[in-house]
Amino acid sequence: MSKDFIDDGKLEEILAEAKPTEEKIEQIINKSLNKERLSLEETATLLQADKPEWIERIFKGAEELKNKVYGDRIVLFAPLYVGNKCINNCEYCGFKASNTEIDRCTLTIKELQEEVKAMEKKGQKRSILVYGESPDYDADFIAKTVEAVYDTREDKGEIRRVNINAAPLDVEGYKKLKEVGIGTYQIFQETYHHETYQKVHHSGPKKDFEWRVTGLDRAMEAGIDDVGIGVLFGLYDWKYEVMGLLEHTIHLEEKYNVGPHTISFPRLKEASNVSIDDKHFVNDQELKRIIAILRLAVPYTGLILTAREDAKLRREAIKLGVSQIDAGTKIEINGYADADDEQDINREQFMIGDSRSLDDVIYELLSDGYIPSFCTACYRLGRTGEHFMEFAIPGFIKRYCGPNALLTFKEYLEDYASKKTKEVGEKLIQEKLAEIEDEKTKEKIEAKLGEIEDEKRDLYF
Amino acid sequence: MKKEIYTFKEELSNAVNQDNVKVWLNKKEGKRIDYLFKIGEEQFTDSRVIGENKDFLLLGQNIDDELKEELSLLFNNYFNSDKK
Repeated sequence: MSKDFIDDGKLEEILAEAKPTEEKIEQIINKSLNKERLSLEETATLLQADKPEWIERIFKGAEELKNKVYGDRIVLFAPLYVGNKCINNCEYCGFKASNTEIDRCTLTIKELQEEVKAMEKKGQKRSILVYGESPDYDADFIAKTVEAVYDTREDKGEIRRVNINAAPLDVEGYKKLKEVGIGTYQIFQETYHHETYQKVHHSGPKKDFEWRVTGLDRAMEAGIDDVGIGVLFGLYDWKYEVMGLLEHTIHLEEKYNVGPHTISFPRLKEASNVSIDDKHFVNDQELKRIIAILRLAVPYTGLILTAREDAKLRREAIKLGVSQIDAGTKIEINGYADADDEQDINREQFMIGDSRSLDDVIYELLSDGYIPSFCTACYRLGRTGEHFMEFAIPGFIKRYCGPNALLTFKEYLEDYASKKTKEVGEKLIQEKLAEIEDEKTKEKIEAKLGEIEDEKRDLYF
Repeated sequence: MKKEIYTFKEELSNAVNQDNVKVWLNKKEGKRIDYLFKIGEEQFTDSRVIGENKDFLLLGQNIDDELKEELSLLFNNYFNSDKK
């Protein structure tokens, strides 16, 4: 049985003792550019580097690393809220049990399938299912909903990867989810600061810090080695929380030989019937620092920025290190199937900042030279867990990730894109093909792109 | 099954030249293919299915027809006893 591994005093002390200098910052950035994970002390040094010129250097380093590891691909997904019943009372959340103004509901399997069809019609291929914490949403229920999503197909559309954001389970529960083939299991600790954690989690199972922080240990013990961690920035000091995320990463690496697949960093936002002290709220510049420092600290971990943030900030954040974003997002229950585009705060966990359509987001990404990717190849070819570490081999991204992004994007252009997106997208594919030096690789990609034009789907390297 | 997988890995290691071939065993979990172990290093060639049953999938890179047949037999010995 795993124990709480977060030592607040230790993290605070490392932060307090960090004394950045230009030379130290340079050394740390160089270590990161060599694609090595940073230590707590090194990360603390970057966190305490408050001079504008140091921050600028960190941003530049993060941009360089992002390009080195992830190139010009951005992975796209969309969340799907399955149910908002909740027995927790979290001060910051619109779904808290004491909020009687919110409309409580759980999708039936038929409604869930309608949501999935609506998402597939837009071109979505990857989704994360979101559940409140309720006895109604046990492992059997979650497994049933995952199977229903995988089984639902609309014309050429299908969801090929289902990730989960739900309450921590016991080992037996995780095993049931492993059997139905989930992608990432995501649990956000919200805050790694014990005192703050107790202050904002008034009642319900989530009040137990240890049960939550060891939630992904139990997932690993059940054989799920694809996990995501996160913090709700704004509850406590942001520098401490970054240290908490890194400590969690180090714990998983040391104990299970594999760190988190993704890190998320939502910020507190307006929600129904929620009022919270704004002392630790994170401004845009601080959020950019969080992203850049995380990028440098964990070079191979995917960084997710959701549509909580507005379009302008998301555009800047992508440059600094974000590798995955959601697009065409609806967070109301039944939000995709309902035609109404207006947000209703009484049906949502929080307000979203970027409510653009998937096609609009893709068009902007293309204008910035990014290739939108719906790729799920690694998870379909066993390139996961320990094996995923081969990602570090030079050439892996060029031979697999880049080409697979082009193939999945080509599918989108053929089946779902607007006229203007298709025009710009086709042009960008040709430009990316022209950049490929190895003729054999280029020929193989061209052949598969041709097959997609001939109506073949789900091709990957 | 753990013991079978262990001995299968041993036999597989002896059967392939690990410098220019990669073979990896996976467990099927719904749509997901979960990596169990690998022999050899990444070859950056297309992945080829060597053997498959309802639970397991053996994939390989740089596998010619002769080697495929040999490894296929080995896979079937362990995981598809009715196809020996």
